[in-house]
This record gives sequence, C-alpha cells and structure tokens, in this order.
Amino acid sequence: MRRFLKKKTVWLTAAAVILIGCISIGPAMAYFTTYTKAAGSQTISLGSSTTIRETFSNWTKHITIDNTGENPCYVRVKVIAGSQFTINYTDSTGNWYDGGDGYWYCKQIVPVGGSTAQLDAKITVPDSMKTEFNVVVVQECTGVLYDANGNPYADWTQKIDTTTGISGEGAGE
Amino acid sequence: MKSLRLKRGRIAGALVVMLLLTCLYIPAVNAADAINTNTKCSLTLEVPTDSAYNQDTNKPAITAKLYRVASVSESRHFTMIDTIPGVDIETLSQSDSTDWAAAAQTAASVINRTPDTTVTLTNGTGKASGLETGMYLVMMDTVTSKEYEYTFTPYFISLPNNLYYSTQKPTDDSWVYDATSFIKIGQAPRYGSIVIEKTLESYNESLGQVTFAYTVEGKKAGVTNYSNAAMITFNKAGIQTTILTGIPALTTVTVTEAYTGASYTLSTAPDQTASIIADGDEGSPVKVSFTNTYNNETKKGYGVANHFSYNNGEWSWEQLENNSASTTDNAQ
Repeated sequence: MRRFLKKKTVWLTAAAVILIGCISIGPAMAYFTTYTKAAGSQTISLGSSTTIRETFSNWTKHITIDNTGENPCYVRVKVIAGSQFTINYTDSTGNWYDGGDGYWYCKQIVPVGGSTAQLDAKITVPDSMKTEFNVVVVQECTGVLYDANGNPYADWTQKIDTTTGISGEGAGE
Repeated sequence: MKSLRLKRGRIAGALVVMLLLTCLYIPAVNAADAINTNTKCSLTLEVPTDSAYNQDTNKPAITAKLYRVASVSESRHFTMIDTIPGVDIETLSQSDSTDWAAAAQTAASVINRTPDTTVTLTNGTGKASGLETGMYLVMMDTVTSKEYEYTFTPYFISLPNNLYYSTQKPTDDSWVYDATSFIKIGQAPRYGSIVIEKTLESYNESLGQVTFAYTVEGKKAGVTNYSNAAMITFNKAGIQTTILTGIPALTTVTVTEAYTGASYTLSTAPDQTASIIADGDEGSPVKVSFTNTYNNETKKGYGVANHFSYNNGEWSWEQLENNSASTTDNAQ
C-alpha cells in the first residue's frame, strides 16, 4: 500500500508539473519563436501585428497603419517605385519622421487596436512613363523594448537568441 | 434646195456627234501608245528609303506575293481573272475617284489561291521578272525582327505601268514594262516580359506574411525606357514568380531587390540584369532569380502593390496583394 501511495504521489507530482507547464506556455509563447525550412512550419505568436490601410487621391497615397496584434508596437513605412517616379512624403500631423534610410518612422508607440497618424506619399509620374506602373507600400512593426531607465525604444534589428530559444521581444513590459 | 440644207444639217450634226464621241473616248483609249500585251514585264519592289526598317539591325527578309487578278488589253481595258466581289478592275479604272487602297484591302481579304509569283526582298529590295501584262495585287505577310513587327498594306499595280494615270502629266504617258514600286510598310515595336522568381528557403510563420519588393529599370541605347516596381508576398516557404509585361524588346533590364523582407536576408546578388526577348520568341520570357532566408530577426512586415494604368487619356488604380495576377505558388 505504501509502495502504491508512494507511486501515486510520484504520478500526482508529475501531473501537477505538466499542468503548471501547460498553463505557463501561453505567456511564454510571446517570447519564443521558430522558423520553417521549406514547407515545414511551427507557429508561435510574436504578439505585435499591423495592417496597412490606404486611400488614394490627387496622386497621393494616404497611409495609415493599424495595430491588429496583441502588443503595442513601433511602425515604419517605405514606398517603393521605379527610379523615374518621384515620391514626396508629407506628414501634416508631426507624428512621423524621415529616418534617412528610406523609411518613415511613426514617433509614437501604436497601442493595441490603435492606428498611426496618416502619412501622405505623393507620386509624380513623368510624361514618358504614362503607361502602367506599380508602387509598393511596405510597412514593418517591431515590439516595444525598454532601456535600463524604463524608456521605451525600438530595435529594428533585434534577433531571437537562438542559443536559448528566448527572444527579447516585449522584455521589460 | 430645201433638201440640200437638210442634208448639210444632218452632216453637221453627225460631225458634232462624232467629235463628241471622240473626245469622250480619248481618255479611255490610252495616255500613250497601245500596250504590247505580249511583252514580258518585271517588277522591282523596294522598301522606301526613309523607312525605319532600313535602320533595323536585325531586319527580316520580306516576301511579297503577286496575284495577277486581271488581264489588260492593248487599249488598257481590264478583264478580271479572279472573281472578287466588289472589285472589278475595269470599272475601277474608268473612274477618277476610285479608292484603290480600299479595293486592294477587299481583294486581299478575299483572295485565297497560290500567288502567281513571289518576290523575296533582301535588304529592302527584290525583283520579279517574266511577268505577263495585267493588274497585280501585291501582298506581304507580317514579319518580325527581334525588336519590331512589320505590317504591310496591299496594293494594286498595273503592268506595264504608266505614270500618267497617277500624275496626269502628259510627259509621263509612256508604258513602263520594267516597273519599280515602293511597298507600303508599317513598323511597330515588339514587347516582352520578365519573370522574377523568388525562392524563400526558410520562413517564420510567427511573423506572418512577408513581402519582397523590386525595382525594375530598363534602358535601350543608353536611354531609360522602362521603370517599374514589383512585389511578391509569401505565407510559407517555397518558390513564387511574378511577371512584368509590356517591356520593349531588347531593353536591358536591371532588377534590384529593393526590400528584402522584414527579418529575411537576401542570399543572392541584389541586382540582376537581363535582355528582354519579345513575347513568342524562343527564350521568352527572360527570368531573374532571387533567394532569401529567415535571419532570426523579430520584426514583422508586408506590403501592398498599387497598380496604375493609363488608357484613353485616363488613369485607373487598383490595389493588389501581388503586383501581378500571374503570380504562381510553387511551394516546395
């Protein structure tokens, strides 16, 4: 009987550990990631996610980015066109700045469910190119990080720590 | 006496009628001497010296088909050989307002037999000899070079030829049994396409869909003649292609991966060059390939393409997930 009880204790302990582990997986998912090779894949959410919202008038793209993810994030935008087309950005709200690297950065953290202010990109088409063309609008988002003083910042080159499998996204939140 | 006056009047009337008939008959008789219908003729066909065809370094040979649709009499009266509804050469030749171009188009659309002879124009000139007299329909099939498409307008030419009938100058009224004619040629540029093939070796599903964007710049004879952008969006690892069409043939195109995807690294050269081959020719469409892989970064991002097209003086705009409907997914 004692042997049985001992055995039972072991099993119960093991079950409890597994249950606790399962409960903690949810929050941990935001800090882990993996990637696929070829067609194989695993999915673990990284939290932040954004969507492009555009309108067009007077040869100007009116760009707004919505945060549709689970975490606040930083956002940047780039408009790509052929060399013969000129793109002039206008920020009438003062909420964007030119990063000098081809991207325009939203100064504010975009909250969950929130949106950026509008960024305008005016397209100038030369007469010699009056046929057909594409303009590609690209947006990126990255999680909010905090420095030692608790100040938020964005790290656009942040990488996952593949040695431990833990990424720093959201650290300090 | 009364009878004599009556006789004189009749004679005078007859003379007037004869004179009138003679006047009416003169244009129809000939502008020159009678045609010698037994003489063999020749026809030299030439591309006009000011034609852009002569500047084409890859100009193709042109084959002209000659159809003798009517015979001609010594007094330049025509008798149809082919039955062509709406086209009777004799009737047409009697009118000063004949639309010969329209008649030739009609004949060209109807005639369906082996030509009487063919002439190959090499370097813009060719000659047919030993031709019987008559009215000929000259037709040429469309030909292409690597860069251009050449189309031709069919036309009639009479052998022997006589400039009087086109110039109305009495000095041009002799029959020309060895005639020369400039063919009616039109030139249009040909266009080709480029396929951008993207291989995504590894993909982080946690980051969601990822876009790769390209700029495409084309030059011909040192002048920029094409400028565009393209994109491909992935939601899994694999291979996708997108195609850009309507690029002038023989344009040298440089494709640059202008956006390598959030958290992805390009593992092939960022710029790739190709010479556009006209659609339908061997080797078309040309292809450039890029490969990217996940680089362990954590930022997310994707793009949307805005496609603008200009037709009949108006622009239209549409937003596309990919810049081309011809994107294919060949996931491994």
